[in-house]
Amino acid sequence: MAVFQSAQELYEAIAGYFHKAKFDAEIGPKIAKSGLVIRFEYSDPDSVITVDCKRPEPEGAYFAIIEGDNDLNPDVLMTMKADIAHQFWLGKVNLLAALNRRQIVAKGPIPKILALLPAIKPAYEQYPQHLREIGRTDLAG
Amino acid sequence: MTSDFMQFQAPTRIVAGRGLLADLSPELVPWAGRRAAVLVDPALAGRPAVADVLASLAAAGIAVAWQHSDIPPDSDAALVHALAERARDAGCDLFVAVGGGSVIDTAKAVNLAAFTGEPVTEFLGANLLREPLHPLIAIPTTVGTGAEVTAAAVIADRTDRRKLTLHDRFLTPDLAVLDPAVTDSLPPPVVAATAMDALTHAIEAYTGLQHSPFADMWAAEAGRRIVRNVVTACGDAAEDARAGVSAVPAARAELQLAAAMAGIAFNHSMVGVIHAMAHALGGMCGVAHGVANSIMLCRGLRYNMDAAADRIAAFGRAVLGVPYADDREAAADTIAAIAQLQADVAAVSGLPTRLSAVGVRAADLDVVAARALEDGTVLWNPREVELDDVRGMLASAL
Repeated sequence: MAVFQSAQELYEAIAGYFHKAKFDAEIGPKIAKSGLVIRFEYSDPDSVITVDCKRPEPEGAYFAIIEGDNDLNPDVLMTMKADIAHQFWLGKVNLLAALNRRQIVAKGPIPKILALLPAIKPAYEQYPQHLREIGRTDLAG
Repeated sequence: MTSDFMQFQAPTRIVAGRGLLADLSPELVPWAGRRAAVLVDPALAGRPAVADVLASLAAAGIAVAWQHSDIPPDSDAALVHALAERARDAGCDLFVAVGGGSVIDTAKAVNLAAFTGEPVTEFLGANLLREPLHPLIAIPTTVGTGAEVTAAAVIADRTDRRKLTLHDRFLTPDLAVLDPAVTDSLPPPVVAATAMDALTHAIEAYTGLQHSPFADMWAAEAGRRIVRNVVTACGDAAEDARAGVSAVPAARAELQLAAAMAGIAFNHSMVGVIHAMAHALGGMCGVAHGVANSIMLCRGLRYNMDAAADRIAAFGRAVLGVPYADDREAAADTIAAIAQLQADVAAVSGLPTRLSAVGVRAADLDVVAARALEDGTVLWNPREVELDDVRGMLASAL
């Protein structure tokens, strides 16, 4: 059974965390520095989250988060099942393994994507914390 | 500790032996009836080896639809697309690359663009292809690249002075032909630089975060062959022949095998901070890849001592016969032995040992360090890579 039963659940969990991270003084500046537009396309349930480092909003945020389909031209497109995304943000996915097994398909400048991995390490603790805060302790790992 | 994920796939058929190119037709039978695009290193144009390849293709019933021998050291995307268009116009459905890493990587990228009809920039990423490309035959003429067995291709981005990396298992050549005769005429500095490149592949594969028992085996065997043969291989093959001995050609044959083995190793385990710095030095300052790797090799290993003393020590014990039981002692001894080897190679070949000797200026170092940190290879380095540390390593090598 899929982790998220609807796109709404996924947005509350993953996009909800991203909305917090965009104000995080530890993660935010490092992601913003990449200058990338990263589009995450998830399946089961179908959903899209875009991280836009070129046009941060609202004021005080290091980047913008857009939920759902949009016309932005991404530098990087990451495609995966929503379950894999959830596992990734829990810190339980070996990215090399996932890329090689096509659990994650990354299109774009791979070095720039990989360069973000050290920067997002705090997310592996912050994401489950966010899940607990929104009452999804069942998913917090 | 072994990585929690490992894989092994070495799909390239490798044939090796002196004189193979004189009649390669038995190896080419699977592609009879195809139309070949033959890409050749400009330094080899007109050489007997190229004539032999063309004759073998004809003997196997393969038409040479198009031949190109003006491949620069670093092909860029614009050149790749122009070559792909010519290959498509000529109806090519088989690619043959005769040359060093740049020529083989160019052939991989041209094959990709010609087969798909799309710009290679559409395939920046990892494993985006869903079906095999046209077959690719790689005939390496140096002793370091490993490109004849790997899934990666690196091309230049002139607009930004960066390297673009394509990585897909369908880029891997179908056949690699290792005929040591093509290395007889290599100048010693090229032998030295490419062999040190292969040694760096082996060591970084062995010590990186993604090391695995499968890759270790290839890396260690490659390392042993390089350590045993690189100094001899930097001698003058022609002088050897005049004296009626064959030590230099025999040593180069061993290096040729080792380069392919190291390629198989790093195709699985990746490389690390040493390659990150070499890529940045190549992109920003035009430093030859093998030279850059050689200069940065021991500095990168010392940087990794705290995080990977056990792996450096294991490489030293397996390859160099380092005796100490204590990992830190053995790792230090391993690095010292590699530094001595590097000095010995430099003494016989003139291989540069300082960045200033290859045109790098102090003013370049900040940008080179920043670019190195953006290189994807740092992710697989055993120690987390910091900007100031990379800047320090580069400065110490100036």
